[in-house]
Amino acid sequence: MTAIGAQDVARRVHGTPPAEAAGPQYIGLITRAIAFAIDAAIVNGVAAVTAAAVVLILSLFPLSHDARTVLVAVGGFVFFVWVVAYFATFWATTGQTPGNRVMRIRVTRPSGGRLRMRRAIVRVVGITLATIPLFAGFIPILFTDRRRGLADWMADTVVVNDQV
Amino acid sequence: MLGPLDAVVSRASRLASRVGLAAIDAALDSRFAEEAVDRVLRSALAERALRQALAGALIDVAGQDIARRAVIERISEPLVASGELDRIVDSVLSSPAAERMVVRLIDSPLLDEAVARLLESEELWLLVDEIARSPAVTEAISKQGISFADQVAGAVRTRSLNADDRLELAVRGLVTRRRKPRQAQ
Repeated sequence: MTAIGAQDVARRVHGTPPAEAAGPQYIGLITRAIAFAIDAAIVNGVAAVTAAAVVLILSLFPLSHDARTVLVAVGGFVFFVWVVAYFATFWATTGQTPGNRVMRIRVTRPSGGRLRMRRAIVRVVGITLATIPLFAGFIPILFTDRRRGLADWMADTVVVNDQV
Repeated sequence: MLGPLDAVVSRASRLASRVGLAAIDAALDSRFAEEAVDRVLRSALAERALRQALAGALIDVAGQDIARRAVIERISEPLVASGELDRIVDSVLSSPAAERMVVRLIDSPLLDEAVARLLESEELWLLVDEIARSPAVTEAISKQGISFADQVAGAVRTRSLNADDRLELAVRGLVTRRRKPRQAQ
């Protein structure tokens, strides 16, 4: 009896083996870019409204040129903190930013677990670094099996289809 | 003495009643009965009697009695229960006469005037405002909006996932094609 014949007999005796559970679907560059664009719109929209309100209030007070320079620097720092907090908090809590939610994708550990805050912050840094050289840090998404970019490598994360 | 006399009177009155009834039956069966009725109904006397009856308190009394004794309910209940009323309404609505009446009503200036007056009335717009602000309507609109946004997002998701695959295939194909000529050289 050949090897194929033995497998055939075994299948007939024991029945067909159960189909393996489908693994997570890793998300590619375009879907992630759309989700990121939605997040960028939210982050910048909130920042613009807040900045407009602050500027309106500050216009009531006479400010020197130096004070304005300091306020702009403070505003820049606050914007930086806001962006980091936005992404890191969503990734560390629900695994989904609002943009991810719209596109039904989720950032998880390769095992499927949730990110901790430190890892989420590392991922934000990774995305910043991936963006600096003309978005070259995202190119590996096109070539790797699990569609991971520089930020995913740094934080050891994957972006998967949200099954829920 | 009075006992036999009473019996005779009673028998005579019964006989007279039977004779009277037989006479009425004979009159009704006769070929002149119908013509007699027609003549009576066509006569000025019948017309005057009807007019006076309608002008008098008879109609009011009849209306009050109909209401008090629930005549309409007593008539309509068995009609509704038996489904006869539905059949009558269906036959009336499906009749060509009803259709003609509706067409005439729509074509008549009465409807235009009614609509114009309705649109001019402030109460209508108050009612429209009230309905538009009602929780049921706002909830329905918001549900519709959410469902539309969900549909759009779903379409974008599907297309972007396909685009992911196509982009990867294209890029990987491009890289593979460039490698092959180099290996050939």
